[in-house]
Amino acid sequence: MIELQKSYWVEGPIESDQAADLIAKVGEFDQIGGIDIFLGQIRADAVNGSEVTGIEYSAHKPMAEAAFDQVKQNAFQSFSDVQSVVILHSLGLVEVGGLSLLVLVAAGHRDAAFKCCRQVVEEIKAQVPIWKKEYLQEGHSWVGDPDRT
Amino acid sequence: MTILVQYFGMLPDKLGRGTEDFHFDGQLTVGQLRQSLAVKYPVLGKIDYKVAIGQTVAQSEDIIEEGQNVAVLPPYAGG
Repeated sequence: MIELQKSYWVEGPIESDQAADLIAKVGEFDQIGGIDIFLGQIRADAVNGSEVTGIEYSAHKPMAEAAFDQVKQNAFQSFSDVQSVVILHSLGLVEVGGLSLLVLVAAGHRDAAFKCCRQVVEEIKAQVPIWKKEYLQEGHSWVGDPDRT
Repeated sequence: MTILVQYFGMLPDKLGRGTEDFHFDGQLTVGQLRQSLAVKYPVLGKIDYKVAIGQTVAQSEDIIEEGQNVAVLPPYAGG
């Protein structure tokens, strides 16, 4: 297992330089043959007739970090060919077009990299206590708010 | 006994506070805390929230001890 990250969190948007730096780091390990990267980007959805301008992320940080650890552990248990998993998630405000999630999976071969990356993204969405407050052209709205129309 | 309850995600906006002390006589289970929250905050009846004791999601029958931190967690929305 190759550990390429020190923290799961990025204040504000994830910069493309961070993805480039990770790719360069993976290049130092010659047993890696397939790298899959997922990037989550803020989309200008329409909510209550108003366009999203950005999303503010908050988390229960200790629980989220434990959940991220578990997601990575699940990845290594599910795919023996996977050598490294990197998860970066934004906290705070990310404007439309900015990146809020990066998942990088490095494996010996492409099949494990593709499949594992998908599993990691889906588990993050289901199991990590993170919340989104969408800023709109007028007002704001919480994702998952039952009063949202 | 007193426990500190912390609200996450949309809940501070919905409930008008981010943390709150709850005082109870005798033993307290998560289910009993849920009943108290439902009475105090009817809006929670519409939200499928989890309760964590410390950093672990708890079940209704789990007992909350004096001084423990309790987190009320609405549905997750990461990514």
